[in-house]
Amino acid sequence: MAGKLELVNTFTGTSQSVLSLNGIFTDTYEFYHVHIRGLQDADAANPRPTFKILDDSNAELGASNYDFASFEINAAGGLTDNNVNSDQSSSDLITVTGGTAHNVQAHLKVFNPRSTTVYKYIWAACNSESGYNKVGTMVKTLTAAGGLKIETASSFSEIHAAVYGVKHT
Amino acid sequence: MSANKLELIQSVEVTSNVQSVVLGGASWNNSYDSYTVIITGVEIDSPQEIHMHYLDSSNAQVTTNYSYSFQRSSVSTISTETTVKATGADDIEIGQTNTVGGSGASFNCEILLQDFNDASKLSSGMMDIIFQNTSAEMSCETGGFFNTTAAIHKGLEFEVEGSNNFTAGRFTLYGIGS
Repeated sequence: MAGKLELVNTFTGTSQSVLSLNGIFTDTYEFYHVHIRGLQDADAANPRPTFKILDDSNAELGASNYDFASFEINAAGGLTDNNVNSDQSSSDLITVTGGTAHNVQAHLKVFNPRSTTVYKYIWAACNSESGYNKVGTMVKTLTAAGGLKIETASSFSEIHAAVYGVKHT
Repeated sequence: MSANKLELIQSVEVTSNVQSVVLGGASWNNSYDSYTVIITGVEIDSPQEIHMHYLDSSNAQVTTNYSYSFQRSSVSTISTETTVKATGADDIEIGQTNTVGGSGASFNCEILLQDFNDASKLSSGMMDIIFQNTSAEMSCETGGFFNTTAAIHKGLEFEVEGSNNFTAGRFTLYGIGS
């Protein structure tokens, strides 16, 4: 029987603050897994990478329309609610340890990014040396999404992403 | 790319009103140790909760043998952080009462199923859920569930509470090959 989990594309970069995953979402799939891993160089004021969705022209979508809720377990065992993030211009991933080349990983589940009738929904599990974070994001746009952008206010010494689509036929 | 091991068993698209959706039953394939269910773009005609039941062979098991626990995070005025737990329940609650359905609302999730084909073990699962209510308030949930009676099960039934209906969405069952 043919498998239904298909590699869409992979991306990689070094010494950069942005990794754009252009053209990953198509009408072939309604559900995607996005695996991100990297090393971030950050000062203490900018430890948390973020993500945005892109349209088919690779322009940012949904400015001031990101709502997200997270539940973070930090390295010391503490729990942090982060539930009042309405009308933002990006969504958070996880706090990364300040300094040079600290680990960050994320697994995003992207539901119906091409829909023009419902909003965009992304469920993320994130891991770093600073803890674990579960983040749910809703982007209030009815424009079809074509891609994702991973960003940091500092720099990724390396950053990698793999995108998989899951076929339903 | 070489063939992979996520294999399609059944896909059900809702295009008109139905109160319940069944994955498995006569379509169940017992060749796998684990299964994934992906649900995308589900809409309901009125705000209600979605209930999930196991199937014995083809019938939903509405018995007080379900246990579940999950953590819900919400960007809303309804709740912020909620731990939801139940034992001896007659269904598995997914989504939140009176928030999932209605105009503009949408429900999406991925579920992992294990030990459904082993009569000596408790059929269990884990789920990651994200949904939106009619007020454009988003919630995400992560957690797990099991049936307290060891038995073979052959799928899932999803039912809208209160005689309301699914009006859109896709429910898809995959086997994870080993």
